Amino acid sequence: MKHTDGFELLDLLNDIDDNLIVGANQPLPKGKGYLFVKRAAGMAAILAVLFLTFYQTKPVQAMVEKVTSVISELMVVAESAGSYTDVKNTTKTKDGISVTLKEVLLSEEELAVSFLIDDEVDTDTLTENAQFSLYINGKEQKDLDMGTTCSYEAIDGKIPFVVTWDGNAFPVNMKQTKIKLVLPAQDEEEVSFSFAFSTSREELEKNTIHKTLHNKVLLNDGEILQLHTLTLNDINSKIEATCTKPFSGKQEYQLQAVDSEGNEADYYVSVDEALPDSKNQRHICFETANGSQLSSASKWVKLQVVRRKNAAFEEESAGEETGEDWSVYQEVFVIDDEEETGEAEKEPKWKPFSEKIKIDLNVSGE
Amino acid sequence: MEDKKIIDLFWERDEKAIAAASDKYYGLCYRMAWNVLSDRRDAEECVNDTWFDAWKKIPPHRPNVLSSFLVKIVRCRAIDSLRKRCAGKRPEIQLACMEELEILNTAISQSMEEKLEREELLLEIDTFLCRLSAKNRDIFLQRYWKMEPLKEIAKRHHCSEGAVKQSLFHTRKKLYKRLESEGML
Repeated sequence: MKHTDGFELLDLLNDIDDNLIVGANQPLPKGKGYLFVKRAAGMAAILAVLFLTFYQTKPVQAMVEKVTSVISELMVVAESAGSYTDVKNTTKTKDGISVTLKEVLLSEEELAVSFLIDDEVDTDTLTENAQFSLYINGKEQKDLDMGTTCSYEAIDGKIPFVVTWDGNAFPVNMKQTKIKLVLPAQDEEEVSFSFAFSTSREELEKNTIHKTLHNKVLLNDGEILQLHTLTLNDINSKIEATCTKPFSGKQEYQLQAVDSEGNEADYYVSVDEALPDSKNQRHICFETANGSQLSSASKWVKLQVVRRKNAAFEEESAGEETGEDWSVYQEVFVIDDEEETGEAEKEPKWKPFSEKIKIDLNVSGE
Repeated sequence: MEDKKIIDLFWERDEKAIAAASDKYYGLCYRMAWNVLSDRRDAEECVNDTWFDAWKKIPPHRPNVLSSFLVKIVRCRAIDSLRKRCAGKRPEIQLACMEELEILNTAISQSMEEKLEREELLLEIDTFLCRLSAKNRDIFLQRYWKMEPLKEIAKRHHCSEGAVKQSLFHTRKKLYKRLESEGML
């Protein structure tokens, strides 16, 4: 084997295009697409090979044709009729792959569709090559920004997968709504799944809670985090807030939530930016991470600000004082508890940083 | 201070340029150096040398993107420093991500010796990265350009470390196949 000093690719990468580096140095853009994760494409290929191999034998061929025929019939029936409630939670199976339509929800900003997909489907394929189409009243919604979010942790052999289409201009009546998912199969025809149903804005909106909040969280240097709105449904949740200081630095913050049904969720900071028209005011947006979700059927939600040492900055706190100007790391909140002295590999623990705030979900929002 | 203004100060040979660059980009550069060297003193030294390298290079150079220009310098310095530090030792002991790149490194090393100019290979890698999905590209660059720990990348993308490893594995494999199919390996 040729001798290598182990730095060849790293050296080469040092001269890659500046624009690529700019992207890598920036925070990920707000949105959903980037949340997407993918898994290996091998299983799809293996399934295709197995299918082709066994398809050569006549009994299997006959059986497959029969099953295909039954599935096709079922799909035609499903596409041609059905209310949303009939189609919700239905599973379609094709070429050994099962896809379940879990939920379709409409909020002020987006239409969110959650699926459960067999975990043998490669999430790499899902997020990179799968195509998702939305048809409303017979017209494909091509101009809407689409995002996908998939969990890497399968639940009972199924991967939760969410597709969102941004926008709030959906018609009041959505009598012919179709959501189409096309999965590529290597060297084979594509596998497509369609869920068609009749619904309305009202039906899809009713399970999303919008709540105006007036809660203030006192942070320990006198700063106040003002919570403004809570949006919550069974797919995702968001809290809009303002604060006078940024939420990133030596310490990182998030909200931990528990609902009356015992579900727990973490709200991470997805937006932390200065408001253009307001001096010293920042817009902070908290969103739930995929796979961490509260129930919209809950009576209440309790929120608590927690914080921990930011692992990205942990190294400099371990050393002695150097007289260096650390202003670039300037933390916004006074640290009044002891420094954590764990090794670099140890994940710092979240510690409560505020009182718990109880938000009643049954009381109608303003 | 705006990047353009900082670059102008460098061109005017005004030493405030170094202070301004340091004020704005110390954190970014230190993080880069730390990721490679995992040693505070070495990382600080590396960053301090970066300002002087920039001073020497600007002018005549006028960087399009100052942050990228500075981080490239600090990355290059940090890798050189690590190379010296681990001369004669197995490099993956020093930098975890290098073990993952062993197959690609061997192929690239051989290819550059026998077939190709560095620039050709670089162009192909640029093209490959541009064609990746935004997600996979970012994961690849976080790991092999910024040398971020898997844990940090997982946090950035709100996914598990396993998922990050999987993405990296597939991207490395795709890169290998791509270079191979282009007759570069």
